[in-house]
Amino acid sequence: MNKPLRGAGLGLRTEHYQELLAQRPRDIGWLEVISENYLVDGGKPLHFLDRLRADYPMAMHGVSLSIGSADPLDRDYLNRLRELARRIEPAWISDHLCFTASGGRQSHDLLPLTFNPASVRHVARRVRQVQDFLGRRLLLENVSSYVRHAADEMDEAEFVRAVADEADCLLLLDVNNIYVSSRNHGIDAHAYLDRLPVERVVQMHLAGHQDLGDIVIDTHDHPVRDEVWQLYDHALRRFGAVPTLLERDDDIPPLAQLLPEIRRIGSALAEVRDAA
Amino acid sequence: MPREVQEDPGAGQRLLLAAIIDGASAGTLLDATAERGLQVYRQAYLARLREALADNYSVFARALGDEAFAQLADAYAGAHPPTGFSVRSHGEHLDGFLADEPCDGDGTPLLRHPALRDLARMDRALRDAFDAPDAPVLTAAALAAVPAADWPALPLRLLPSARRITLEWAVEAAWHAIDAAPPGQEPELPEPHPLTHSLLVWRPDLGNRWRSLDPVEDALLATLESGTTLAALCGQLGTLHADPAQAGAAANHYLHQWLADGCLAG
Repeated sequence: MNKPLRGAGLGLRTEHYQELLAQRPRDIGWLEVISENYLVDGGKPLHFLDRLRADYPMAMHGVSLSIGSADPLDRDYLNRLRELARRIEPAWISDHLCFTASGGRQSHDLLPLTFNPASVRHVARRVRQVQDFLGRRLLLENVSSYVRHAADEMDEAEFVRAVADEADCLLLLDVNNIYVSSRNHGIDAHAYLDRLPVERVVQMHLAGHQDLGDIVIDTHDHPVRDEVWQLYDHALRRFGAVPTLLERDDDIPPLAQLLPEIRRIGSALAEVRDAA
Repeated sequence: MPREVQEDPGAGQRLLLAAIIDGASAGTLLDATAERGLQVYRQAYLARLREALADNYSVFARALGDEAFAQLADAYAGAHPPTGFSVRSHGEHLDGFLADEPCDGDGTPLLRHPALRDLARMDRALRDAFDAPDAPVLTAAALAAVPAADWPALPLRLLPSARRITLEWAVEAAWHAIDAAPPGQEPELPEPHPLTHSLLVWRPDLGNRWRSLDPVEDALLATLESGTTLAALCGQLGTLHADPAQAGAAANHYLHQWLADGCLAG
């Protein structure tokens, strides 16, 4: 049942359960689930997860691993994560290259790490621990950020690459996040993409953001914007036809309104495959 | 940049969290353009916790209204900041927080009526039942298949999703009216009247159910929570009814009710 992912995927949200089950749109090749939504004992979440898993390959995407935190890894969380992975046999398990909690305090946000060699070693050691525990390689996703640490000694692309190399993990490239962070920190998004290791990028994310002029915010409440589609084209040229997921987390429309974006992803991936 | 922040990633992380959660100064932790970015994180932190609390206490949130709920949610987040990995647990101390009758900075109570606390209790019980462990339900047909001689010793237990809660006010009709109202339409609610009683919440399949309890049934269900037998339940009823025939009739009545409800584990 651990089918490889191919083509365009959609982030599974409760609003679409019934439409997905009734319509099984052919344009959606796979689903990505927010792991934490299913780290529960029973009821509707697991019921619908099992039904949808029968129809679609899945990836698990977490938001609470806090892989860069100085706190110890949360063993209860990891146990539950492993149990869920056994249940749905996801193609991949991913989380974010960030910290969410530290010193026992929880932000429920994806906060930026310090980009320096000490941080690389710290994160890579924890990624290896998680990979050993789960018995598989983890995908780490680059996050959007709105502040930078004064103690940074390398740029984000170098940091991401160094962590992935040292931990021997895979990467989930969020193209919108690269756009957002690049705008917020005045860096070249194309150059960022060009410095990531091609062989490690196995999944991509696309989403919408809000441009407030002085700052760009990763809101996932809009369609993907033109500038992000353009960056995605650049990413496809560099990384190839990497399975790509559309994320929508707020102002979630009916499924039919998301399908044009899904089809656009599918077409772009097919073009790359055909050209290869 | 303090030396300990450079050498200990935890020190920097704690400073950033304090800057976001407490509004503290980030000192020299961040680059010079950080204040605008910190605003984004600070707003997102409060917005996320308001949303999580509203998800977990949806009827309570609607009963308060957006402004009053946001004020209460921010006060709660200050008193009980999240610690666990899941926002699902946010609000687990809300009942105790409300019991202390919290006020705003001017001394105005954050709850305009004490009965609102009972709406929050109902929300929490229903939220907990929603994704509680699944279990097969004891049906009348399954019970009928058990030889009558074995009934007295038959183990009986409430479903793992079942919760008994105590309410101080008769809020069930108001809870139902708010829950059933379309988004954006807030129903007129009657003035609640005080009535200390119990409520049973359970989930026989995928949907939650609830109903009010009389004191006798509440006492029986308290026993059923930890598991018992029909004989023991009859014995418990015997202490409440002097006439054994009445006790037997009551046992029969409640058992039929629970089988119809689907609140016993099979």
